[in-house]
Amino acid sequence: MSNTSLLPLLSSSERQFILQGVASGVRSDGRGRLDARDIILETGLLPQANGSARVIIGNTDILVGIKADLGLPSQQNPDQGRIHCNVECTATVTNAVDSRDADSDAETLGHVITRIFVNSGCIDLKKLCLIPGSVCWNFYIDAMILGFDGNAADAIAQAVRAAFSDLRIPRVVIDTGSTPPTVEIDEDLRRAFCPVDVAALPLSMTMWKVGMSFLVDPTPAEEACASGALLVAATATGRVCLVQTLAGGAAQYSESAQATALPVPRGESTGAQAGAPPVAVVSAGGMNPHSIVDMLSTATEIAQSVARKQDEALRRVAEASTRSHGAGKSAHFVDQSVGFFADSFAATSGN
Amino acid sequence: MADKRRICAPIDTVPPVGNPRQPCTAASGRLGGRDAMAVRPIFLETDVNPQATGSSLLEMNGTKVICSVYGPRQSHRRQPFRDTGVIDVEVLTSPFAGTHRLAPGKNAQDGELAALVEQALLPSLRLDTFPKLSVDIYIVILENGGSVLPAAINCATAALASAGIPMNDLAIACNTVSIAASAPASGADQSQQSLWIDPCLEEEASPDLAGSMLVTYMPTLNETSLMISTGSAPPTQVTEAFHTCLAGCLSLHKTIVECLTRDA
Repeated sequence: MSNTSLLPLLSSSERQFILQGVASGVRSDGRGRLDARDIILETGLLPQANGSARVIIGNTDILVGIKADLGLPSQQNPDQGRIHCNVECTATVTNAVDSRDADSDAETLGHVITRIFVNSGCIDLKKLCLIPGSVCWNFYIDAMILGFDGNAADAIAQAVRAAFSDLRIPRVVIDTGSTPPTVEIDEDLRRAFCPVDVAALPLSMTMWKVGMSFLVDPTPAEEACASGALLVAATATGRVCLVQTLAGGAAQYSESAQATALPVPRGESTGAQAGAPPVAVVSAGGMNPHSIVDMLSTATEIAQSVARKQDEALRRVAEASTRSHGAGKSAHFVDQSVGFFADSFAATSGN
Repeated sequence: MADKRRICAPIDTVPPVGNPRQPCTAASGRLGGRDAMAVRPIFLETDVNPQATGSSLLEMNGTKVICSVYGPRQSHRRQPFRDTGVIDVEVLTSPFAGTHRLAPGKNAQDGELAALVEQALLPSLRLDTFPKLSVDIYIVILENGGSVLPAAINCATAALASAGIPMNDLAIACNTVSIAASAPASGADQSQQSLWIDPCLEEEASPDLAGSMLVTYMPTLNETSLMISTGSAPPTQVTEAFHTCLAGCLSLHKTIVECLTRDA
C-alpha cells in the first residue's frame, strides 16, 4: 500500500527488464545496487517559517517548513513540548484515481517521519516545555512532495533534519513571580536560537528488496517492482532510531502475489517448522529474518555516513550564509545549494 | 473537531478518579511478576459473527479484539487497474477501550493501525486468486490492555483463515518493549536493557521505556511482513529484540494453529 498512488503501472516486460537488471547488478540509469544519486540541499528558503529546507534527489523534490508556536502541553505529557509531523502529497505528482489514496500514502509517510524524529526520543521534548501543564513549544513539521522520482521517505527525512538545522525560535522569559506564571517573548530575532541538537538527529536509509537483492535510492519503476523495503534510521554515532518495513509496489501484480517455491540446497535449514516441504518459499512483500538482520547493519552504516555527510553539507551551507548575509534564516541564495555524493556506499556492498 | 451529532461533555472535563493503573518500572518489574519471556494467555474463538464470511474474537487478559472478514466481494473503492485483489482494513477503537474515553467514530490512530495491519497481512494472502475483488476486514478494539496492534493482526489472520481466504501462511505478530534500568539518555551500558514480551498497558506506559519492537512473522514461509522498531538503541540491541519477537511469534503461532484446528 505504501505510496502505490505515486508509482507507475508497469507492463510485465518492463518489470522483467528491471528485475533482471537488478539481479545482475545493473540498474536502468547505470547505477549499481548500492549507488545513491546526488543530493541537493538548500536551507532557509521560506521566510515565513521558523526553519525550512529543500532536498532534491533526481526529480524527487521535497520542501519542508517548520513552524513554531506556543501552546498547551498534552494531558498525557504535561511536561513536554509537542511536535506534529505531516506529509502532504501535492496533486501534481500523484496518479491516484481517488485523492484519498494519495492522502493515505502521505499519511503513512507522516507516521514514519513522526517515528524517526519524535518517537525515537532524539529530540528532548522536556526542553520544549516552558511552564509544565500550561505553556510549551509546538513545532509543526510540514513536508510537501513537490516532485516524486523515488525514495520519498529518505528524502523527507533528509529535508526534515536539514530544516531542524535551520530552525530558529525566539528566546522567552518566564515570569514565575506572577500568578499564573507568564511567558514573555523576546522579539529580537537576532537572539533567536536553535533548540534542537541537530547532530544527534537520525537520517533514514531504506533498502529496497527488488527480486532477491537489495538496492538503495530507487527510481519509481524500481519501487513498483520492489516486494518490500526496510527503512533504517540511524544517527551519526550509529544509534538505531527506527527500523520499519515498508510495502513495495509488487503486490499489485499477480505473478508476484503468488508464493514461489525455490528448491533449497541440501543441508541448509530454512528455519521453517519441522515437517515443512524442503523448499524456500518466497512471497510478495515478506522478508527473510536473516536478510533483515544483514540489511539492518548495512543500512545503519550507510545512514551513519550519510548523516555525517549531511552535517558537513549543513556546515558549508551555514558558512555560506554567514559570509554573504550577516546571520539569520532570511538569507536565501541559490549558492547555498550543496550537492553531496554518497560515494562510500560501494564500500559497504553486502548483497 | 466538535462532534455536532451528539451531546458532548464540556470541553474541560477530567475523569473523577485518577488513573488507578500504576506504570511498571525497571525496579518494580513486570505486572504480577510475569516472566520477561511469558506471553499472556490467549483466548481465541473463530466464527463468532454469523453474518461475516469469517470472524474471530481474541482476548489476552485486558486486550479484547474482534474481527470480521467479508468477501471476496466487489470493491467499493475507486482504484486504478490491477490484476490482483485488494484488502480493505478498517480499525475502530471503542470509546471505552482505554483509560480515557475516546470520541466516538474513527480517529487518526485507527487509520494508522489499519494501515499497519494491512501491511502485515498482505504478504500472507494469495491476492492473485481473487483479482479485482476486495476482502474487507473490520477490526473492533473492545478493550485496550496493551499490545493492541499485534492482537489486531493475530485476530485478523485467524478471521481470514476461518473465512477460507486463500493464504500463503498465517501472519503472526508479537511485540516487546525494552526497559532500561538506568535513564535511557545515558545509554552507554548495553547490558542494562531488559526485554519484556507482549507488554500490557502498565508496562507500555513505563517511564523506563527505552524502545519497542513489533514483528509480524510467517513461520512456514520464514518471512517477516511487518517490523517496526522504535526508540534509540545500538544495532545489537535491535537485533536481540528482533530475535525475541520471532521466538514469541513461534509460540503464538502454535497456539493459534491449535485454536484454528479445534474450531475447524
